[in-house]
Amino acid sequence: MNEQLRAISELDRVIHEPGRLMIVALLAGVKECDFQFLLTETKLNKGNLSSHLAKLEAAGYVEIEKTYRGKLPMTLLRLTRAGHKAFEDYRKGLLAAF
Amino acid sequence: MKNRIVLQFQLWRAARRAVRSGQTDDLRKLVEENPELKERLPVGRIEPVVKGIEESRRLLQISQRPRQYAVTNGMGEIGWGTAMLCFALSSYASTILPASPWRGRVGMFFFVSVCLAMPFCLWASKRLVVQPRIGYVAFRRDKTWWLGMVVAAGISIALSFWLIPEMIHAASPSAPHAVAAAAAGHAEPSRGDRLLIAGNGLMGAILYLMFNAVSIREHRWKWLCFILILAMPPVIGHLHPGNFFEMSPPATLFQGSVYLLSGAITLVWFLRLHHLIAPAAE
Repeated sequence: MNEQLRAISELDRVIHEPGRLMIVALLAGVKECDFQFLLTETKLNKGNLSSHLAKLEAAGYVEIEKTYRGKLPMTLLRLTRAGHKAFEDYRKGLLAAF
Repeated sequence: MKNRIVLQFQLWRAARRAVRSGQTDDLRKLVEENPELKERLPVGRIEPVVKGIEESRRLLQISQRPRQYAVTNGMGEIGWGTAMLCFALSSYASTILPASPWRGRVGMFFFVSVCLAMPFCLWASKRLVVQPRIGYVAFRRDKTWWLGMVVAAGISIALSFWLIPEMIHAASPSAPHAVAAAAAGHAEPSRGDRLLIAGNGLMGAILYLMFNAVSIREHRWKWLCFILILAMPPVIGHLHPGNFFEMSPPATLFQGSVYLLSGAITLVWFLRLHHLIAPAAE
């Protein structure tokens, strides 16, 4: 197989989806953030965002912590070590693939 | 043959720069300007390379985007401006106010305000401005952040050591310029005093640029503030001659006012652009 084609086929499909790519790219730059922050930044609706986060959590890329700020529920989100590595690999993969 | 080697080197350098900084203009230009390269690397092959580099760079920019909220709301400028104003006012308080127990308390109030203004404004920026409008976000303090802190501390310490002898000399009543000034009835700034006050303006301007590194592209009027902060201290020193300690309070007062005004305008702009979000179940 052509090297470029192989690099394209090796791109991480969990991250490759635009919504999830946006989430991972945003989480890569911060230590942690809440659900509201991602909602404001990505402009996705709550259902879509939750579903993408669930997939990223299942892949082990995102850590989700349910907590409270005062009496209000708060969902804290962090990129795991595997998530950071996957994002970096994806960026490098982009350079190799195209 | 030589030209080919040079061209190959230029291509390698442009590609390297593009991968490092994400700036692909040079790479595109080089390929377009050299028919030889176009033949060997047809646009169909160079375009995906450029796109891959740009895409990768864009992803990096997205990941750096959340940090912008911490610096584009003007609270840093307000904090620094308040600290500068309080610092200048504490100098005025000790010279203008009549001798009484209140003079010390007013001076202490301004001194405490200098110390607390910046931490309070940074806290307020996070908790009262960004969090209710954008959401909660905490930043990682990576190697670059710590490196920046170490470099800033190093520069501050080096500058202090460099300036302390000048300041002691300027403050000394036996300094030649001070003796001459006392004889003439007014203080005439020495070369060292002028240097210090110009340095004051330069440091203020560099710090202003650091505060506004992100937002100055959008708010062109901030260049005017930058020029005022840079140029006005020597002008004030000229209009209000004396040694450095006499010229410094009005210069600091002016710089603080510009910082405060600039920060207030930026904050109003930020608040108008980002509205409060109603807390809801997630």
